[in-house]
Amino acid sequence: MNEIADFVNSGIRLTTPILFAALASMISARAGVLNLAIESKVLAGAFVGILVAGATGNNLLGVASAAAAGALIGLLLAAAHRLGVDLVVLAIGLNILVLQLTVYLMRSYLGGVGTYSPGIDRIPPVVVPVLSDLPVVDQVLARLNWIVYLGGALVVLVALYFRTRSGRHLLAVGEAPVAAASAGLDVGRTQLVALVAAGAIAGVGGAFLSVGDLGLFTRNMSGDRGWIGITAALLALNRPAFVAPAAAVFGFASAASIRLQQFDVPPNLTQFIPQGAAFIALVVVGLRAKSRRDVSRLWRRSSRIPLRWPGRRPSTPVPTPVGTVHDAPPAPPDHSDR
Amino acid sequence: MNRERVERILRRVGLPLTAVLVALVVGAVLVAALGRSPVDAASTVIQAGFSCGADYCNLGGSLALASPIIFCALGAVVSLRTGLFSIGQEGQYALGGLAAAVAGYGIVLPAGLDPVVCLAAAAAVGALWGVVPALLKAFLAVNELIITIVLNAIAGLLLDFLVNYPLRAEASTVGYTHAIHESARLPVFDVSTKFGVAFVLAVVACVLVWFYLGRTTAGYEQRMSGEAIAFARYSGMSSVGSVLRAGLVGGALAGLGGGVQVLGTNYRVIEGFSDGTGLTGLTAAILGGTTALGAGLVGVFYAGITVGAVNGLQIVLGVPREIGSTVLALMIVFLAAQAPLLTRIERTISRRRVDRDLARGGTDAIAPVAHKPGARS
Repeated sequence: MNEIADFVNSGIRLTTPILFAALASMISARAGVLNLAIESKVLAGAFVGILVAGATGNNLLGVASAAAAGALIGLLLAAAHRLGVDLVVLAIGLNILVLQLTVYLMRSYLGGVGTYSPGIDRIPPVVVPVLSDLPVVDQVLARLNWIVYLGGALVVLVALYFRTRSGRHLLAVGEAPVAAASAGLDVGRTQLVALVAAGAIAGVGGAFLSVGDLGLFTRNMSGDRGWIGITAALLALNRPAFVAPAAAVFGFASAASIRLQQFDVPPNLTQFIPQGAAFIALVVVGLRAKSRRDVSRLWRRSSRIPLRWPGRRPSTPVPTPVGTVHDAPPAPPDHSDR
Repeated sequence: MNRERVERILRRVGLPLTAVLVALVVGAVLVAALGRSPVDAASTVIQAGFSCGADYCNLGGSLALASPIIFCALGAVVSLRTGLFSIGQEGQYALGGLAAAVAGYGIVLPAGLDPVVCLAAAAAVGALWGVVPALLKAFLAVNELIITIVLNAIAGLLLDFLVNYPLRAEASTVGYTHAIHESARLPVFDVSTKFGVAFVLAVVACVLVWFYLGRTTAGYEQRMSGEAIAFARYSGMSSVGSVLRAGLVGGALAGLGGGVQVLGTNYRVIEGFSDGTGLTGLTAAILGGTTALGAGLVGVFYAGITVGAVNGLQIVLGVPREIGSTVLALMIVFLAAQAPLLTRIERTISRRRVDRDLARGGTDAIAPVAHKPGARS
């Protein structure tokens, strides 16, 4: 019984950062932006969070600045998106930049070669009034701080938000930016808000790693959790209802891989399961999208060539309304060759 | 050669160059903030990355490191130019390297033939892994970017599993495969840096990819599928075929990258072989303007800066070696940012010119011209 409670506890703690990253990825994707910079947002959040928490001794301030750091990267992405910068290239650059810059700064100013440990108190676990006194449940809830509960609350909040007026606008912008713009929505501003919010959420996920769970910062602390979060959001088909279970599949799979090592079960074997599930989910979505072409646009938007199937989608030129950032107006003829 | 043309060339070279310079300036500020001279730092990097002495040749080390990066970069070039935005080079590199290691240990052949067979195995496995996203994209419209993220993760897990269990050589803390036979090793010119045939192969591959994309019909079809899909389709080219070829060729090249790393430098595969070389190659391809020759040059540059930052900066000046990769990442960010700026500037200029011509009463301003603005930014 203890074993199981312990397993559930570590599973929840491993799920939390993935859940934050997955939420960030989902919000960006639903607003119509393929956001591959989640990894850098998580890492920046982890770094800035521990830096501020160590300097001020205030964990809450640390988490808040982690959110601000993530939001700043989100703002950068939104600005670049508006200018028409290739977000994929930019995101790859940002991921490498944050990874290398955090290590550079840590080695230069914080005196650590691979680890920075300011000796802060970790965020204390939440004591739930009745449940924390029960025999098994207390073990499950041990070491779970408020960021874990925040993650759960955010899932509900995002799900509810998608049902509000402004949430519907966000979904509309993501699915058909041109139509949304002609209906009077400000596409650029909606996407900016979505990217900033996604950045802040991913940053808090990073702060959970450094300030919340371990109380230290290590090189590449995010350890691909941003990418896993993106995959988890895909496994959830970018739906709020499935995000938590999808993130849990990844989190519990890595918890299981740690447990199973003592029985000499290959640790990465369990991690295949969520990745394989994500692969199958993507293929299934592809199969579905083939019959429902509208959905596939959402997936294809980022890719350079829209491989259209012959005989579909008449290509009548759509007049570009003011405020869209997607379709730039046709360039005037270039006479520089003469 | 008129003034407009000169101005355009200046713009198209000048703006990316400015982006690179800005990245260097930011790097210099970071170094200066530590109290070290940026000029010293730069000269140390160049010294430690690109110089060649009598006893130890730094340049050889850089070129040896550059070989797998160049292969991965070429794989990325072939994919990107065809419009297959695959970031799967990492997984193809990992599995290609593993295939070379398995073939190098499992098959015994004469010295001349053995590396060829091993490299063929690496290329075949890389191509197989590379054609998966292409197939999914062509027939199911699955986003290749997203699926390659998953495929990279699966390849990394698969490699670590195979190296730790079925292919493990001996009980140790870190899993590794058996070393390949002597006959399977790629010859080296310089034993201390392992600079050898691997780099020659990378250069040959560079030229071949340039020739394939620029001078053959198949390569032309691929480029047109990437740059002007409507034109490609109207002229009867098969965009599906192009994408599949891009997946196969790009995957084979990245797989060869893993192959030369194993046959030329490591001689076995250790756990964690998938260490970001494929991603480095992808960024080198982007920095090189997704051209074969550019990718090769940037690959060497990239390796030199990495070697220079590790051997020079950190040991001589005490500046953390991460500054090298930081500056390279800054270059990617700024280069990405300047591309739309260039398009905007060119658009404004040509609009002004048309306005001016119209104001002057000329009718030739409206005449159509067969030039596509900003096709390759």
